[in-house]
Amino acid sequence: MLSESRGKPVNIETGRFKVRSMAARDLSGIFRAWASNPELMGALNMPARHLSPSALTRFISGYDDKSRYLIGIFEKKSGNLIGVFMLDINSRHALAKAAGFIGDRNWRGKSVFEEVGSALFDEFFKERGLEKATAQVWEKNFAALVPLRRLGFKIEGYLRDEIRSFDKSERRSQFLLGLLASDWKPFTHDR
Amino acid sequence: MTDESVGKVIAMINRALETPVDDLSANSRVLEIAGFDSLAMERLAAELGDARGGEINPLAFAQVETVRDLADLLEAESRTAN
Repeated sequence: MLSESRGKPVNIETGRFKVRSMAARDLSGIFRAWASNPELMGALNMPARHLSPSALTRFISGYDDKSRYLIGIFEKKSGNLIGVFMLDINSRHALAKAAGFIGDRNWRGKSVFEEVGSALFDEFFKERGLEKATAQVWEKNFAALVPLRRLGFKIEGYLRDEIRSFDKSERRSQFLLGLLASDWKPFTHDR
Repeated sequence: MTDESVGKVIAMINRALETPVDDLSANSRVLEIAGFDSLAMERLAAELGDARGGEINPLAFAQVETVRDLADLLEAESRTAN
């Protein structure tokens, strides 16, 4: 039974994907492999880690489908997990901070975030009361700008030396992007 | 912005794409070019950087809308480099 402190899980279908809140059972296998992949984690500014089962349990318990969402992107055909969306919600301001990654290399450059983000933000803006979404992107991660801008995110700022790199070797400037519910239009390829 | 810069940018975009397109112009919107994806964006950024012998201005590059904007950026970076 879901605890009362938990919110409503995400459960959406798009043309190619099932998009749903992740459960503990989803965190073994490929998810653990991603977490231990230095290249993938480095791009997210996180250290690669070998997560134990108890660490995974602690990790997933931090996502309550109310203030924090960990949303898996599953290919419909195979059922395989190919990527993840994360949303941190500030309910007072109806504001979400969005992040995500495609873990499966074969799906990079295949407009996954455009398709999934379109369905996800459509639900959050229209049914879950979200009024604004933001995302921060490392200034050298130009690839991440493509789906965000296609979804309608505007560059709202450039934050000089905003964060430390995970290994503390440098500071990283960030783009701040934002998308208002009032500007929202689901992505279509002819936009 | 010169025709030469536009031509250079169009050539760069076509090298960045897996399948080149032949109807690009100064007014083409970069994110609407068929086949232009996140990988093409990375390749284009790298090539623009190489053309300038270093890195491009990230904020200016991130905000480009059209091929014309890219050509302007290429020329501006060229003036800076000189």
